[in-house]
Amino acid sequence: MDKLNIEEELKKSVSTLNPDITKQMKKCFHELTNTGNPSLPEAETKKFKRLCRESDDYVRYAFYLIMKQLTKNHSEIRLSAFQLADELFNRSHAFREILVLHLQQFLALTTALEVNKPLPPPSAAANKLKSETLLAIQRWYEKYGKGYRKLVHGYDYLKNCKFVDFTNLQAQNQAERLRLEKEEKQKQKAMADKVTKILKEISETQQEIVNCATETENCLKLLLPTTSEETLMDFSSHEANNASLDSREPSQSCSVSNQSHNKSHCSNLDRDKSKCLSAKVGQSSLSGKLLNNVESMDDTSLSSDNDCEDEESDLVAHGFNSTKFTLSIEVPDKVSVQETTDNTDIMQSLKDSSKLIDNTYLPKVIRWLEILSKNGGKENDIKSAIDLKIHLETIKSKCVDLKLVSMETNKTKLDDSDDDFEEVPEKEGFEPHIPPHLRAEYGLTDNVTTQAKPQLVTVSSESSSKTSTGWNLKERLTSQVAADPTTMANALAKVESQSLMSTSPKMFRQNSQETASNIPFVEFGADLACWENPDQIEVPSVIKYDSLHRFWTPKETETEKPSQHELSALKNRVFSFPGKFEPVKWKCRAPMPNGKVCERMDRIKCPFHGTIIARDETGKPSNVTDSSEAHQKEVTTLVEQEEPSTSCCNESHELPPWQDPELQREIEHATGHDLGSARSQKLLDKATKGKGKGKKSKKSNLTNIKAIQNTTHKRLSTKVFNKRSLKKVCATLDNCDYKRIRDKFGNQFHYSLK
Amino acid sequence: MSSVSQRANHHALLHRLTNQSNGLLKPLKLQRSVVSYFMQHLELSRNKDFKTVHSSAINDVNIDLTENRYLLSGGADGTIAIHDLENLTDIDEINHSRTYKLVCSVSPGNRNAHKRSIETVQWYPLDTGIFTSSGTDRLLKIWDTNTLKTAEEYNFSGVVHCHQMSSIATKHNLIAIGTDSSIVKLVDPRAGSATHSLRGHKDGGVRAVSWSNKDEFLLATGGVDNFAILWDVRTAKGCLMKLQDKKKKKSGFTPDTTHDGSVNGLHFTADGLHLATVGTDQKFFLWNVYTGKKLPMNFPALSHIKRRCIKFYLTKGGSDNHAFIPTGSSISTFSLSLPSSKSKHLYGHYNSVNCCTYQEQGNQLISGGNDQKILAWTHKGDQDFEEYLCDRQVEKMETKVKRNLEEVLELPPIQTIPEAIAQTLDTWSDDEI
Repeated sequence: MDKLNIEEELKKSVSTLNPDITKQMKKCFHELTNTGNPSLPEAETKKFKRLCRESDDYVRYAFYLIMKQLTKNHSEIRLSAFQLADELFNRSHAFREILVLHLQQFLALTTALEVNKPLPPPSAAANKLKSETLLAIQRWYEKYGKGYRKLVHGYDYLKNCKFVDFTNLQAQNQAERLRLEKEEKQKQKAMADKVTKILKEISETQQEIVNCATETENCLKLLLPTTSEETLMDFSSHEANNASLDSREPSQSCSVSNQSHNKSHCSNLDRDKSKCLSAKVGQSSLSGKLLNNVESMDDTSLSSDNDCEDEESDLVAHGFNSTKFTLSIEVPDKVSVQETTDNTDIMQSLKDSSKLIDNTYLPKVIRWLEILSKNGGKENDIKSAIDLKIHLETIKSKCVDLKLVSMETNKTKLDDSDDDFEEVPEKEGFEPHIPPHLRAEYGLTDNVTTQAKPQLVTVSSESSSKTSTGWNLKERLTSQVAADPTTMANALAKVESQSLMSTSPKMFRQNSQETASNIPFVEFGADLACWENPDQIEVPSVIKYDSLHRFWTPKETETEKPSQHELSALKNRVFSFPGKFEPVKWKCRAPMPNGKVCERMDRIKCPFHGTIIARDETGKPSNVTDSSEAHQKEVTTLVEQEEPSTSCCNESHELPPWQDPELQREIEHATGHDLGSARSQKLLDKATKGKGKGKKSKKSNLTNIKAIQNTTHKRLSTKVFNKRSLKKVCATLDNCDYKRIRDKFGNQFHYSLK
Repeated sequence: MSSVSQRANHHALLHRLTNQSNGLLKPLKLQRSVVSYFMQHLELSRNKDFKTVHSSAINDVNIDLTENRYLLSGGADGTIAIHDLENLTDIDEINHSRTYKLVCSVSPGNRNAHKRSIETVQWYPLDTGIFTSSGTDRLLKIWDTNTLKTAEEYNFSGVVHCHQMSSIATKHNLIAIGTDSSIVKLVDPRAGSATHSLRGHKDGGVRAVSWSNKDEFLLATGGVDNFAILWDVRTAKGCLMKLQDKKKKKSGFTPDTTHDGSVNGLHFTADGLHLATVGTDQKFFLWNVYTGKKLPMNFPALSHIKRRCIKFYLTKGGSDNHAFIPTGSSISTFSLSLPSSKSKHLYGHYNSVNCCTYQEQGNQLISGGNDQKILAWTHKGDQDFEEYLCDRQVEKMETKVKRNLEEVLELPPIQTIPEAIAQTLDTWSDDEI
């Protein structure tokens, strides 16, 4: 027998060895070889080696196990087995001896040197196996060549007969290493370039940013100068002053409404909330003054340095009648500063600068930070960038906290009032539609209007009232829709207005109670003409000439009796029913990768996210099913919910398009490079595991070879190159050819015979 | 198991040695038993190499009968090389081996060389001045060894599978040739042409020819028609006999043939009484030459017997002779007198082994294969020699140390093992306990 009979040898060795240990070895070995990883797990390898170390017989048994595994039709298994063999080869003499003895078979299974025995599929693993084996052979040759004659012969055999270029193999390795080094260098250079570029940018723009930040801060200070220190200082000074007041009037009650203060300069400081609260009554009143004082920049009439003696008069002057009052100041969470003519410029500059920070500088700084940290920038630079970022962020948060109430509306009003003439839309006589806020002008009492108003009008007034009460997206959208001349809503609105115009208000008023909706009207027809007596409907008679001669016509022409069919055609009317238009009131709201939710408004199905289901604000599908929903629907909703949840899951685990395992596999198949199709397949498997299909992948971590073979190309080719379909196609093509020839040369003798 | 039998053999050998010293055993018997002892435990020699000449597969090797010294080898690209089996180089310190020197060679570029693969090479039995070679270029060439030029060429209509000269002939000088045709040609170099043709094989080629080593006119041929035929070259009428097993009754019309496949190898045993045949049915048979009957012995089954001439060898000198048959990438070996059910395999070649021969004097097997190597197989792979080397090195060390001790008392004795042995030691690392 030339080839080693592995099964037989295994049986033989098992019969002589300790069954416990062999069982352990087998288990360990299978675990080792079924990992599918390009490298062996360390702990398991050590365990296996420890088991092998018992005696040389176990080493031989291990060899047979390895050889058996090497015959498996999966390169990843073979690769693991080979790596284990390499480990043992470097350890045991017995293993070396037996492997060298069967080196040819070993080589045939690991290097595919025999033409008729190529390595099995995952081609990436196969390539790795081949190159690693050759490298190992060279290593072994160098290390153990003197002790094992056959190894030397094997090396020579590979070199001379199989033309394996070992020097080139080494050179190749070296070249690979050099290439890697070069790449690394380039990478580092690129990184350094990036860092220097960023640093330059920082140095250029930092001053700008700082300027902007200080500007913003200054604006803020100007608007809200009572930052904590100042107030504290003031408070402390006043505390000293008002110590007596404090003791004297502990239970004064007084309510100070915000309106009673200055006209419009109102500002509540939440920052100083605690301090304000801690301050007692007198102080708070004073602080109230103080606030007033501070807020109205030019208001100097109320000075803070009041004397203790004329406190009461002072209080009276402020409108506090009684000295016994409690002051309660309501402090809202947000600080709002109203825009006035005084602070418009500051406000404007603050707005501008804050916008600049928000939109330009902060993202820029964040980007700098990212690049610096990724490309290994210096610690100091990163630190300074972080400081800058924090600074900007605090300013931003301040701006956000400070609610700037714009005065634009007032402003416009003011602007309008400045004009002498108001532009008024021209009115001619009757106005069917009176906006509700103008009703008073027209002398229409609400009572009458509500009674007399036709329903359509009420609807519109309702909508207008709604818009006046609060902004509603739905309403806005419907109004938008209506504004679009291409939509149906617009068309409907037009029709409505026309109908309103056409009917006189009186008539309208009369009919309004009878007809709730539009009166259906049909065009005039024969059936309407003879509405009273439908028997009299006459079908227009058609004269049919038997002879179609121009001159010779029969004397008497018989008029044909109209058939029942034609009669019914006159009586019947066809209405097309387009259904009632219902505007879509819901959105897809599926979570999108940018953190927002999908804003598409589709009726049933979003083209991107599938069937639309109920979702909460964050886009998570709400599990609560309506109680009104029938049981049947529940099932469908369950299905619906499952789908988006899986899609969500996919999104989180979703592989980028270039990691599509099938595509990668095809490329790998073509090029032989490892692109990691196995890894992405595993990822995909993991992602889809939730569906309960992950049973197979649990069993072993190996790449699925069958999946590799199942490529689009293969599937197509099996279909296209199917014998039957080929026959069919050939037959049709032949037929076409024949037809063409027959058409062209059918009159020729040669072709006519066919 | 093997170690036990080895020890038993050892004991038997020692027993014989004592018997011989007591005069109870003839020296020849002892010699034979020692020789067969050497045959039993062949291993790839660790320190003997042949100088590489061939750059293609080696198809045949032959050792001259006059001196048992020169090894003739023919390659698949027409290379012929002659190695001196008694002239070894000194120990190469790098490879730790000794190389058989090359005497001369015919490279494939030579004008006289075979244009295609050489299938058979043979020394002239009486002299090393002549050798013959034949190959797939349909030529049989007779060479002058001293000038390395062809003295004579014979052209045939088909590929020459094999040829042989009788080693004992004194009355004739015929070369038997098996070609693609069924007719066996006998060439007489003295006449300069094919003198006889032996018609007996039905169809197909003749893959093996062998002259008897007892009867100079007895020739055995094996063909693709599954028959091995014995001829007396003096009778032109027909064959002497066809070797077939009469006992075996087969149903239908299939004739009883020598083998169930073509007969690809023939070799007479040392005593000339039996003929060994190897067929593509992967079987090995021994036939009685005089009765034409098969010996009732079960020889181990072979494998990888190809459809070409098998150059196997039956040893002569031992008390228990062995057969060495190239089977695939290994050489199967088993005893002829006590055939066991399993043969031993000698693994050493990569790809397939094409030929093997045994040098009786040197007690070594020489084989050639497709891996372009000629390998020498010796008793336990010259382990003794290695041990001797080891001892010598140790001795050297000791003397050195002694000398050093004389000079400087404090010098630790450094004992380094030779690298070849160091490499064969286990190196389990301690962290795996």
